[in-house]
Amino acid sequence: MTALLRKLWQIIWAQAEPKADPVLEQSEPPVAADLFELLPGDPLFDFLQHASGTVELDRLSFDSPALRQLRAAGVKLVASRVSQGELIGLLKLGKRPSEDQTWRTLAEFSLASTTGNEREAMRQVGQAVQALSLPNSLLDRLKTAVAEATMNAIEHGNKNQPELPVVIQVQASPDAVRVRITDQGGGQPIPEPEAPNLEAKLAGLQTPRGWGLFLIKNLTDEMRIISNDTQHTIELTLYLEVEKNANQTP
Amino acid sequence: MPTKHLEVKIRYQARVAIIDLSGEINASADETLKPAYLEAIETNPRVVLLNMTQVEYINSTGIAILVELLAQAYQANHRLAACGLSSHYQEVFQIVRMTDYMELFADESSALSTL
Repeated sequence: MTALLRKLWQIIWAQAEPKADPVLEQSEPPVAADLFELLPGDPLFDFLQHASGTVELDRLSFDSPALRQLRAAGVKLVASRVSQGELIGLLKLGKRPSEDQTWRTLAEFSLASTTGNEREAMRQVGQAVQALSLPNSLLDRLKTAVAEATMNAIEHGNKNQPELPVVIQVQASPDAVRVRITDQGGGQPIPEPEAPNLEAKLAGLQTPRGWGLFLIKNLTDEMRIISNDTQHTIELTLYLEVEKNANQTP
Repeated sequence: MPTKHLEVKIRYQARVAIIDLSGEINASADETLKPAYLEAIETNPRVVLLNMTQVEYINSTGIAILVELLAQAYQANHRLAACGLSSHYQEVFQIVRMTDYMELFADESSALSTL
């Protein structure tokens, strides 16, 4: 997976609205992402008319000819390709970049579900990645994203029950660092909160809260939620190369 | 790890109300920050400056409390600014877009010379 595609993935993932995405508004499809023709009438076409940002095919529960074809080709991520306001096809983004990495575990630990333990998670994750000599800006992003995911695990997953552990695994590859935060609140999907809108919040039309997942998504390169009957895991990945490139931008 | 509470101190300088914040802006900051802001605007200052030089940590609940303050200031047409934020929290404020409604300054002296 090229660095360009990783950056592209990061950009697309960070977008809430595909029409506002500068990549998708380019006249030519970006390098390393294929354009796939999608016919009106296919259920996937109807779904994408209303979906925004990147779509994970694994999470779709309906069946469609296009979906079967994409899955058979190993494509897991797609994004709408919009021209003049109309959906004309899909960008096949292939696998998640993190799937191409070889990971080694740096640390694994568990914390009680008590308020304030997100700070302990930040401290221990910081200690675990110390040998990687990460740039400060990337380390700060990682620690804040870990803190927010741990807070969610304590409050929403484990419902502030101290005896329920939050398990944190820290991994590294040559190109990236990844942290998995697992709570014991599986059995139902984590609800996607209403996208925060600052203007609505300032006008009192939206609760001032609801920034946690938004911050995590914007501070990391990849965020993935994996749920089963007993646990939720939120997986955060940050790429070293993207960070290096971002630092080189004047 | 126990949470650290936020400590606040209010000063006035040239019709700027400066609220010095020290510690963590988390859920517990609600009890101190909002009353401090209400006290700070009692003298009708030109601007309220949040001095965050001594702030060690801000979480999403803390962001929500700051957004509430900002909403209060915005609706009353009051000016709110901040100084002394670390580069990381400046980035967080930009992500949340609070910087569209709240001026950020590197430190207190640059804030006071501009405001």
